[in-house]
Formats: sequence, structure tokens, C-alpha cells
Amino acid sequence: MQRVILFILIILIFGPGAIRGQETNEPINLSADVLAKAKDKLVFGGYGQVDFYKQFAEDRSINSNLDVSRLVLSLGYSFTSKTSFFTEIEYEHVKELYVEQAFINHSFTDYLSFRAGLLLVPMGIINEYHEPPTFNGVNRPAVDNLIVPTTWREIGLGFTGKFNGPGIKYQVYIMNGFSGYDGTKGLITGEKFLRDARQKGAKSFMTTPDLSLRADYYGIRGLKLGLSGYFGKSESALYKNLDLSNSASVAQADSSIVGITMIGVDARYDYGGLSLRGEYINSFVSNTAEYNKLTGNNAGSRVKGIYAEISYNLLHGTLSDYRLTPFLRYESYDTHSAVAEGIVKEDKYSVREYIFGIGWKLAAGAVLKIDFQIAKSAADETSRKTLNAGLGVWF
Amino acid sequence: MIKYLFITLALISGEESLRDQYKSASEKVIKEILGTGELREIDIETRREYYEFISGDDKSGSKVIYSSAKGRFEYFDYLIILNTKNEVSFIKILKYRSEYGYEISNKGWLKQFYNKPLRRFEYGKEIDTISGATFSASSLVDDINQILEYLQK
Repeated sequence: MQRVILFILIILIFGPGAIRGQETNEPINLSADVLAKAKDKLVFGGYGQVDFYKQFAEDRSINSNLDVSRLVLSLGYSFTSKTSFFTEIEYEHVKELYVEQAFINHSFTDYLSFRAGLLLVPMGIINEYHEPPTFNGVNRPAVDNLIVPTTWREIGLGFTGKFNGPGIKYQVYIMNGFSGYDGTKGLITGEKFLRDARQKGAKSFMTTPDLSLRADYYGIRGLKLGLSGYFGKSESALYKNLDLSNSASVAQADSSIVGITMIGVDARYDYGGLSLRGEYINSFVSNTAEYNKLTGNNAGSRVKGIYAEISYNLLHGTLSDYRLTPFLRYESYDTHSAVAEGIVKEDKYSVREYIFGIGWKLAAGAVLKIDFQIAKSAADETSRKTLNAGLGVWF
Repeated sequence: MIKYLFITLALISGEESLRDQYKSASEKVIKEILGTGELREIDIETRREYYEFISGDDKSGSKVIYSSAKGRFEYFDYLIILNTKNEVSFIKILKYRSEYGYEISNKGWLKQFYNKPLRRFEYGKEIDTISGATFSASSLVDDINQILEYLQK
């Protein structure tokens, strides 16, 4: 009895926090339940891919490429059932180290969570779901590489929530934008669009924040629809200590940014062994005439891409634990769909691709892939043919 | 004495039973499906609570189970009701915490479990896969299989 009173006294004096701490340190006094929950607070995961590429040409010899394209270790920590932290640490091509995500999430209710940190921009399918076993083909779709610069992430904050009744999820974030001008050169180009302008949360700078929105609809079984929007301006180093009375400097700084409006729609549908997915991204880039004049770049004023993909698990309905999924994907994208005055519209930036191949899932999180890619730009006589093979894991 | 101490501890540290935690969300649903009756405790495990439904009609003997299963990183809580033949007659995701895999809350997808005289479900066979929700969906299938196995004993 005395021990009980003493225990209650300790609780009253030090509060529930002390008891929890004591519980973790002294497992003898614990129920298995509390212990299990303490252990579950920290969770490790990861994904990665190791790839082989062989391009074919009739008139010359080309080396194959082999690459540990990416290896990502993820960590999740739940402080409480409502508050958690999540991060992904990524090695690209073995040698380049990045932080891909690092944010804190606090859930008020199912309908409303707050999050802040290094966030993925919710645009299209792959930027948010980029783990290799979740997509067909060794490479991510080109549209999700060139038009949506996957993995696109910046520092920001905002809200997300779900309404399970109708099946709607929303995300609203205020985020940092692209570095359009780093002080010496423009990073938004005709060839690679926004890819090289991502700041990735690394010593990033901001002139004005951008807005990122997405709504997902999952109310019909097997179907998932997404609508994304991104609105803002690129950032420019010329706004650093800019003397507002110097109109020439202000004009130059104003020429070093572009306005970006990107709209994306995407759909995924699974039925039995059949999977269909498609995505359309359209970007309107303003102020490119001024921007190109200042930087000497040839950024397009309208940049868009579309793809559609069909796949079927041949082993669906059989007793096999494997999944053997051939697929066919068609892509069409153009970083010079329209250009402003002053630059030449390049046909070579308008590309059509066919990719077909097969994925063999050894387990839900482990896949071997092989595919053949035929790409042809509007400026080319012949197509570029590449054989890709690789392995992907996710756990 | 130890038991009361434990209850005190549990109350203070916020370790409520799943049934208590989701009282308002689940009681109405249970009444809709099984009618009026009482829940009698069968077994309380870590992250899972088994109850038997007792009433005056043929629904008596149905099972009501609260369980938590793990997605890729975080647990989700759900309610499952089984009829007297131990077939799944209803599932409701009570709390989904993670950013990914929430599509398992889709009612149409959950209906695939209903009224099937199966002792074991296979993800990707009787239960369709969901793109983007592999971890949560297969975890739910496994969790339900564990419940079915337990009830066979």
C-alpha cells in the first residue's frame, strides 16, 4: 500500500511525463503495450535503384552506363500520435548527398494537419510517389523529370487533410520557388526547363514565396484523380541588397525572374491485374522575353507534357506470389511549346517517346525491370533507342 | 492492487483502450449493423481488442474487433465486424495517420472483404492492389488474416 501511495505521489509531483520517461527506462514496470509503442516511435525505411543503360546507334559505338542512381534512407519519428517528423536522406549516383524531405507534421484532426520543413511539391504522380516499385519502367516518366522536375522539393509550410466520406485529400503549401538567377547566370533553360533551378532547400534564397495546391479524389474504388496547381515567381539573387532608387538595377532584377503557373491533372486506375495511368502538365511562363534577353537563355514561355500508360499483371488471379507486369507508355513533351519574341523555337525540344518493357516483382517492395525506349524529337530524322534494365527496392 | 495501479497509470499516461478512444465513432455503426446489444470482452491484446456482441436475436455471437495495423511508418486504427460465421461484414478505418496509403479507407475497396467464407485473404488476389497504398493495404490484409486465424482457435 505504501508503495502505491508513493507512486501516486510521484505521479502528482512530476506529472505524467515523468511516468512515461520512467516507463521507458524501467521496462520491468511496464505493460508490453506501452513498450511496444515506445519502440515504434522511430521507424526506418528506404528505397533505391541500380540501373543499366545501353543506347544504340548505327554509326557509332556507345558505352553502356551502370549507376546506383539513387539510394535513400528514410526516418520517421512519432513524438506523439499527432506529431511526427519525417526525413529522407538521399545519395544520388553514389557520391551526391541530399536531403530529400525533412518536415514536421502535426495532425489536429483528420481534416487538418499542419506541416513545415523541406516538403515535396505535390505536382503530378511521381514527385510524391517516386519509389521504384511504384512505377513502371527503369526511368521515371520523362514528363515527371523534365516538365515536373522530380524530385521537386523546397522549404515551406502549409496544411493538408482528408475527408474519407467523399474521398478527398487536399494540400495547400506556401513554398520557396526556383532560383531563376544565381547572380551570374540564369538557371531556367529551354533544354532543361526548371531542373537546374531547384534550390532543394540548400542555402536557398527567396524573393517571393510561391503557392502549391493539390486535391486528390479517391472516392471510387480503384480510381485516383489528382488536380495540382503551382503559382509564383522564380527567385533571383539580384534582389539581394537591391537599391530601390536605382531604376536600372531594379529593371535588371525584374528581368531576372519569370512567373510560373503550372497546372497538372493526373489519373490512376487499377482493376484486377490492369493498371492505367496518365498525366498532363501545362506550364505558363511569363516574362521570358526579358529573362532570355538578360541571361542569354532560351527558356520557353509555354512548356507542357503528357503521358499515358497501360500495364497488366500476367500473374493476376494465379497462385503465384510474383507479379509479372508488361507495360507500354507513350509520352509527348515540349519545353518550347511556345516561345516569346527574341529566341528561336527549337524543334529538338519537342519529343515523343514510346517505352515498353516488363517488371518482375519478386516481392511487393522488390522489382527487376527491363524496358526499351524509343525517343524522337521533331528535329531528328532517326529515333534514339535505349535499353534500360535495373532493380528497385522499397521498404 | 497492482491492477488498479495499472489502470491509474494507463489513465494518466493516456493509454485508453481502442474501444474507449473510438466510442462515439463506432457505437453508432455497431448499432446500425448489429442492432441493440452489448459488447462482452473476449480478449485484449497489444493493439487489438476482441469483443463478442450479445443480443436477443440471431446477430448475437457476432464479433466486434478494434485493431491497429501499420502502414509504412505509422499505425492506423480500424473497426471490423464479423458475423456469427466469422465472415467479415463491415470494416471502418477509424484513424489514418500517415500521408500515404489513405486510399484503403475507400468503402468500395473494403467491400471486397465482405461476406466471403474465406479463412485467409491474399493481397493482389481476392483483394485488389491499390497503387500508392501497397504498405497499408497489404498490412490491413495481414491484420485481418491474423484476426481470422485467432477466431478459428
